[in-house]
Amino acid sequence: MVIDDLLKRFNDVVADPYAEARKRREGGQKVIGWLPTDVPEELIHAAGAFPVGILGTNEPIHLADAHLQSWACSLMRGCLEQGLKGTLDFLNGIIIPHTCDTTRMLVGIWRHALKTPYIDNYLMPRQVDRPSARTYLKGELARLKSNLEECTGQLVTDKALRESIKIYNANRLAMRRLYEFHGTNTGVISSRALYTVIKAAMFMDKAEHTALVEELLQEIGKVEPRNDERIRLTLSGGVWEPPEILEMIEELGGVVVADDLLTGARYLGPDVDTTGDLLDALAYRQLNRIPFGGFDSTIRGRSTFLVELVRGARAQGMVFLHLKFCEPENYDYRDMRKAMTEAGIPSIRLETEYANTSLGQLRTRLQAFMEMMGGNGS
Amino acid sequence: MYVAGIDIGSIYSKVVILQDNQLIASLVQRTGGEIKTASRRILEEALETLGLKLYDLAAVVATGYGRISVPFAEKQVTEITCFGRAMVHLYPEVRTVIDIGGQDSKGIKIDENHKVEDFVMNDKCAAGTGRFLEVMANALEVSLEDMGPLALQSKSPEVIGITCTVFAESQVVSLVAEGRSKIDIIAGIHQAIAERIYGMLKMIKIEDRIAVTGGGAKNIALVKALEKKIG
Amino acid sequence: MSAPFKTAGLLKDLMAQYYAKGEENRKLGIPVAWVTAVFPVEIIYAMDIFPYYPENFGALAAARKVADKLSEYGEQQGYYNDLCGYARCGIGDTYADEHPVGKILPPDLLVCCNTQCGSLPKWFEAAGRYHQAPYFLLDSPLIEGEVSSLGKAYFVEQLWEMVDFLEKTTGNKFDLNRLTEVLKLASEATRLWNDCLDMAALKPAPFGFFDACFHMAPIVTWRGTQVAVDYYKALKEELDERVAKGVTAIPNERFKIYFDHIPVWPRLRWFSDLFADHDALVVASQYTHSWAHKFDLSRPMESLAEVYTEQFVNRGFEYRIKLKMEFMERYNCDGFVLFSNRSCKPNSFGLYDKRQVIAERTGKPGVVFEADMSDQRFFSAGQIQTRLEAFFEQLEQNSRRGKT
Repeated sequence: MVIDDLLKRFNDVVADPYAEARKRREGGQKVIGWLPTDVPEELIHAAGAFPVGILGTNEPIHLADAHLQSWACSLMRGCLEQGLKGTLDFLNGIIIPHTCDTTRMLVGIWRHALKTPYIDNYLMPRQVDRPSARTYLKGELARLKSNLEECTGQLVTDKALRESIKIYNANRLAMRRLYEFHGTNTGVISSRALYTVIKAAMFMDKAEHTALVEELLQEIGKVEPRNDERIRLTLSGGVWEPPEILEMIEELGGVVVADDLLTGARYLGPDVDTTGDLLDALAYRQLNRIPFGGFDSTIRGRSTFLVELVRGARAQGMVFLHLKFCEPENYDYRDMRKAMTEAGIPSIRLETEYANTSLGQLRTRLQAFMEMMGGNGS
Repeated sequence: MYVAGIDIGSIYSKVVILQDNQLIASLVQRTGGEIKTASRRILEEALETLGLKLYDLAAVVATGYGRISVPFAEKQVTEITCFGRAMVHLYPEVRTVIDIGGQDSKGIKIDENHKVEDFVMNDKCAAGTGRFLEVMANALEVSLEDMGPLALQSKSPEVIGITCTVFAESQVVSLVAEGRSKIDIIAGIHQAIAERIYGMLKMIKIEDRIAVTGGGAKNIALVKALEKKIG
Repeated sequence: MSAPFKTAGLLKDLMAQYYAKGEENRKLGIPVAWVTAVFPVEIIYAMDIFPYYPENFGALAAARKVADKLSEYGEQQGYYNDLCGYARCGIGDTYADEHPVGKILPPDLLVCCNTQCGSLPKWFEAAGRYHQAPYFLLDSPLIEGEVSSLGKAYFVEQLWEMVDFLEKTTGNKFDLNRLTEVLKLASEATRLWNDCLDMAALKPAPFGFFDACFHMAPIVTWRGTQVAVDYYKALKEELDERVAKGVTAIPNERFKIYFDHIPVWPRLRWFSDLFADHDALVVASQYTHSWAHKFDLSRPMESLAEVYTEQFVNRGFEYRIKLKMEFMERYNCDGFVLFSNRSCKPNSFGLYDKRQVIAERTGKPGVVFEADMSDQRFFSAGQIQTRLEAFFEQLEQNSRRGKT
C-alpha cells in the first residue's frame, strides 16, 4: 500500500506537470522551460531558476496549425500548442535545443508567435567524436550560462554549479537504481510506473524527487521477488506516448526492461564529474550520452549499441516507438531493424503520435508481435 | 468437441464452427450495431443451423478489430496469428499471406512450422486498403462490387499516386473533370493499391506460396494487379 | 519558360560529361567523394578528389518525373515517404532494379555539411554504412541572430580536421596555394552567375527563375573549375544578346514575383506556364542565389568558413525574412509565392508566419502553397491552382489601384 501511495505521488505530478513550476513562479522564483532533449538543467538550477520539461500534450492540437505544418512531429506541435494556448505563461524563459530540423526552426517561430521573455536555442554539436566538438560545446555552454545569468539576474558561481551538479548526479543515481531494480524484479512495479517516475523528475524539485525515489526503492526492496514469466522487451525511440502503450504491453504479456528513450534512459545519461572544470565536465556528459538519431557517433554505432542493450537487459524483443514525421529515427530505422534481425532479435516498429494515435491498430500490431514471440495466444 | 472462431472485421463479421477439426458451419454478415450483441447474434445464428447452443461449444476464439469486445470468447487472438494458423488447415504450403481488409492491409510471413515469422501492416493512412477502394468507388459513383470487373476492361490504366487517400481522391476527381475514361481511372486505382501493398510486402520479403485473403481477395482486378507486381 | 537557349546544348554536354567523369576518374585512381550542395567543395577540387552531388541526382530524377518510382524502392526498405524526396531517390536508386536516370555514383568517401538541413547527414550516414565508405560531418551550428566567433572558430577547426581526414582517406596532399587558385575560379564563376541572375531585374527580363533553375547545375557541380567560369561567360553573353534583340522570358511581362524556395521539379513547366499565362515572371529566389559569394584569398580557411556558415541556409527566422525582402526590393517584385515543401523542413517551417510578416512589412500580396519538390504523389494541381489564381487576382487588383 505504501508503494501505491508513493507511485500515486509521481502519477499526480505527471498528470498536472506544471503545478510545481506555477507554484515556484508565484513564489517569485524564475522558471525556465526546456524542450527535449539534452538541455543542461544543472545550469538553469545553478542560476537560481526552476527548470521544467516541456514535453508536448495528448490534447488535440489546433492553434499550432497556423504556425507549423501538420507534417511536423506531434511532440513539437504539441509544445507550440501549449505555448499558444497560454498553458506555459508561467515561463520566464525557454530553451529549445537543436536536435532536428524541426527544433532548429521552431525557435524562430516561438520568438515570433510567443512572448516568453527569454528564448534561447541550445546549439549542440552534431558530431561527437572529434576534439573540435568538445572545445565548441564548452563555449556554447558558457554562452548559455551567461544568457541564463542575464535572465535570472544571478551569477552562476562555480560553487553553485558544483552543488547543482551534485543534486542532479544524486537524482540520476536514484533513477539508475530504480531501473536496475525493475530489470531484475519486473513484477514489483509496472513498466508504466517506472517511466512515470522518470518523467516526474522533469517536472519536480530534484532533491524532493530523489528523496521520493529513495523511499520507493526502500519499500520495493522489502517485497518478495516474484518470478516473472512475461516477455522482456526493450523500447527504442523518442517518447513513450501515448502512455497507454506501456499498459498495452503489459496486458499482452510483456514487460519493458530497457530503452533509449528521450523520456527514459537518455534523460539519465552519464554523471557529471565535479572535480575539475565544470563546463568541460558538462560537455563531456553531453558527448558521451547513449547514441540517438539526432547526433550519431561514427565510432560507437547505434545499431551495435541497441543490440548490446537488448542482450544486456536479457530482453527477447525490441519495440521501436517512432513518432510520425521523426526524420532522424526514420533514417536509422532500416539499419537498426537489420541489426536486430541479424542478431536474432524480433523487432517491431510502431508509428506513434501524441493525441490522435489509433490505439486499436497499435494493439493489434503489438499483440501480433507478442504472439509471434510465443507469448499470449500462440 | 465443438469449437468456434469469430472474426469481427470493420465491415464484415464471420463465424466458423468446427467439430473435431472439421469445418461444419460458417456464416458471414455485415458488422452492424454494437459488437457485443452483434457478435453473439451471428454466432447463435450459425449454431442454430446445427441445432446447437452456445454452451455446446468447448471454446470460442475471437479475432478481428472487434475481438476485444466479444465477451464470451475465451481467447482474443490477432488476425495475424489466426491467418498463420488457418493456413495449416487450408494451404499448408503457403508461406506468405496477404490480407486486404477494410481498415488494414497486412503481409504475414509463415515459417515451416506455421508460426508467424514476421509481419507488416499499413500505416494509419487508409491508402492500400479496402476502405480506400470504397472511397474511390464513391467518388466515381460506381458500386464497390463493380470496381474490379470494370478495371479489367481497361487497356491503358491511368497513373495514380496514392500516398494519401485525400490526395488520391482529389486526383481522381480532377481526372474525371478532365474527361478521362472512368474505366482507366479505376484500373489505375487498382494498380496503385497493388503497388502500395507490394511496397509494404517488400519489408518482409515475399516467399512462395502466397495466399490472398480479406475482402480484397474477392476483387479479381486487385489480385491480378498484385500477381503482376509480384511476378 | 523562355525560348530555348543556345547554351542549353552546352549545358547538356557539360552535365553528361560530369556524370560520365565519376566512373572514369575512379578508374584513373581519383577518389569519388559525395558532397552536399552548400559545401566548401573548393577544398575537394584543390585536393584532386572528384565531388559527386547526390542532391543533383535527386533533382534530376525529380525533373524527369521518376522520383516517385525511385522513392518506392527506398520505402520498401523502411525509409518512409515522410523523408526528404532527394534522399528517398538516392536511397531508392541504390536498392532499385531499374535506373531511369542512371545509377547514383557509389562513394569512396562522404563529406557532408549540415548547414542546409539535418536530412543530408542522416542520408549520408546511411549511405556510408551501405557502401562501407568513411564519412565526415562538417558541422555548423545555426546562426540565429548575430554571427559569433565561437561558431566560426569551430568551423575553421573542423576544416582542418577535414583536410586531415581527406589526406588520410585518399592519400592526396592538401596545398594552400592550389586552394587559392580554386577559390579564384569559384569567386569568378559565382560573380558571373550572379550577373546572370541580376538580368531578371530588367523589365521585361530576358531570363527568370525557372530558367535559372535549369542553368544552375554548373554552379553547383563545377564551382571551383574553369568549366563553370566558361559556362557562365557564355550564358551572360547570350543574355546580353537577348536584351539587345529584345527577346524576353515571357511575352507580356507585367508582374515580377519572388519565389521561395526550390521549384516543384516535376512540374517546373506547369508552374512557369501558369505564371506566364497571368503575365507574371518569377524573377528571384533565395535558392538560386545560394551561390553568391566572394572569397578573401588572403585568409582562405576563414573565408571559406564565413562564406559557407553565414549563408541564409544556416540563418534564423528574422534573417530569412530580411533576405526575402531584400530580393523583393532588388528585383522590384509585385508579390511573393512561398513553397511549403514537404521534403524540406528547414525551408518550410516558419513560412506561415513569414508570409504574414512580409505581407505586413511590404504591403505586397503573398501566398503559401503545399507540395513536394520531387514527389508528385503529394501534388494536388487543383488546390495549388486555386491558391495561385487568387494570388494573381490580388496582383491585378493592386495594379488597377495603381499600387504597382
